[in-house]
Amino acid sequence: MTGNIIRTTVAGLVLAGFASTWGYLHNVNTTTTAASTATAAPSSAPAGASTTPAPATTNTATQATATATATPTKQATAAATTAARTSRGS
Amino acid sequence: MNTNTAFLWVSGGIAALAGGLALQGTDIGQEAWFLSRASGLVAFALLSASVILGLLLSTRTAKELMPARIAADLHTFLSVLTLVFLGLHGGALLFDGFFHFTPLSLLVPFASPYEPLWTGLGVIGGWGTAIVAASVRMRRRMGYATWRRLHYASFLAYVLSLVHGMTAGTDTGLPAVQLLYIGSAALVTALLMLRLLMRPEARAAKPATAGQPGSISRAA
Repeated sequence: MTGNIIRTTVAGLVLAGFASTWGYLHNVNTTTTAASTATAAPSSAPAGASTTPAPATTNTATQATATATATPTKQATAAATTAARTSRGS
Repeated sequence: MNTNTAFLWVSGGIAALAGGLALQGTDIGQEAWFLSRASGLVAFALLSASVILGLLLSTRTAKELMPARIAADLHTFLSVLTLVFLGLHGGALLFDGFFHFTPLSLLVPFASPYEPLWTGLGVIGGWGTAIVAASVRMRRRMGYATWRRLHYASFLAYVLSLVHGMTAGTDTGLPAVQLLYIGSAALVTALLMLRLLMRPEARAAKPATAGQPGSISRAA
């Protein structure tokens, strides 16, 4: 009985940890997307705003994909593909 | 079907339902990659916890935290959960839109389309974990001495999984992930040193209990 309670509790904690990890990775991706967007189009920033890119926290592939999404030009798409393949190893 | 199996099926069902709900309205191509990364990290955390608990049992430190029988049960349960998340980690890659993983490239070492060497080490580590976990069920059949020798493979599986995560993982640069890897490696190393130091003492103190199944010192 005690074993079952412990197992159920542990399984619940693990599932919660899994959901949190998934959410954490998404949040990191979203943060990087915002940073990449700012880097991709610095000319659109208001006068006086800093154009220094925010520190990247995730893989190049995600950043490049995010940049391509923000500015869907041929150059950006090509850069994204190159960076993504380099980063993911293909 | 025993209680454990039924429980795992129910847990798996809840996880699948939660995953399905989380995936609603999102691009599955990216989500498979996120799912694989998250489950890989959780699998490593579970493997670490199982190895740490095993070392705590073998150094007889666990009994200060909880009854040895519960600690041993938890140690086995954590290794089963590790396998569940390992399955999710590899299985999700089959749905990744960028890399084209096949079941064969997931099961055969060094056949991966992504970082073949580092992913291959992870595949070997995964097989090692699966064999060690399965051997618990076959302990009586294979004999205690063989089982114990085989159980040492869990350390190799742990090291290979750590190297795989650090090299092939795309989230190694994240502070939380670094904390997981460094914290886990430090704790496992410290407990392993403690166990190696305690081993001659334990042999001298308890020569009569050697070879008896179910001893606490054998759970790790």
